[in-house]
Amino acid sequence: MSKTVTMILRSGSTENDDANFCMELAEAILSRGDGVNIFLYGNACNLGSKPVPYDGRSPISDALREHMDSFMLSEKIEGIIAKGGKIATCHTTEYSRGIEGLDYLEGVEWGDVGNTFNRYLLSTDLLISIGR
Amino acid sequence: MLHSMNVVVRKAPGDEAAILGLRAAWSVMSNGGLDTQLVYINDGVFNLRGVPGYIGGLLERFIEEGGTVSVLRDSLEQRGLTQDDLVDGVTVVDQDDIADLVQDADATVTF
Repeated sequence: MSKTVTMILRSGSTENDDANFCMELAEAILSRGDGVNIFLYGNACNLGSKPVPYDGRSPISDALREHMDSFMLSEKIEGIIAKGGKIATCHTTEYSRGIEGLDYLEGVEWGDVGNTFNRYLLSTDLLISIGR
Repeated sequence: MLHSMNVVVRKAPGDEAAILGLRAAWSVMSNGGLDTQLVYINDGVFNLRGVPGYIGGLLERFIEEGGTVSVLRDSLEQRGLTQDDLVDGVTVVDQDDIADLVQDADATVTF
């Protein structure tokens, strides 16, 4: 019988072991046929938004850009959702960072700790908090 | 489905984790109906000093509406504090008591 794991992630968004671990764990759980909910709380709410491209001239070297791109989790997050994982942000922590109006990655839900997080708990067999 | 949860807060006011933990505890108790225990350890004990504003107000409501708040005795003593320095409604506990809380609850999350 499949189980559902809910993770509260509080760390993000780039070059962050906690965020990377959370997403890799989610992929592993889904691959076993179990369910995953991820609630993006605190700094992790940065992970839910679509990247905003910059069209101007950038001083970032190709090598540095390649390094940083390897840590971006946007595609991984959309992949988890495409495989059935549920991911929601905390809009309050988005508000406090001034990013509440940004577009979400495909499938990421607008959420809150009062309703969305509790809805996740209704179907949860195991709860894990990840972050520092 | 979970029926009970411990929310452990390790951070002092001024670190976002302190308020995230309190908000999560308030939410799962008031909206989710879970039996919720707030446990303060390490620098988290400073949240119990009667913090003005949102944190102190929400903690007061949490206690008034049936939430349970515990604080680790060792963390208090290491910071020169006693129960007299804390808001009303907080229970001072030892490590063994926290082990029991963790064992008895369906989930324990840390902030």
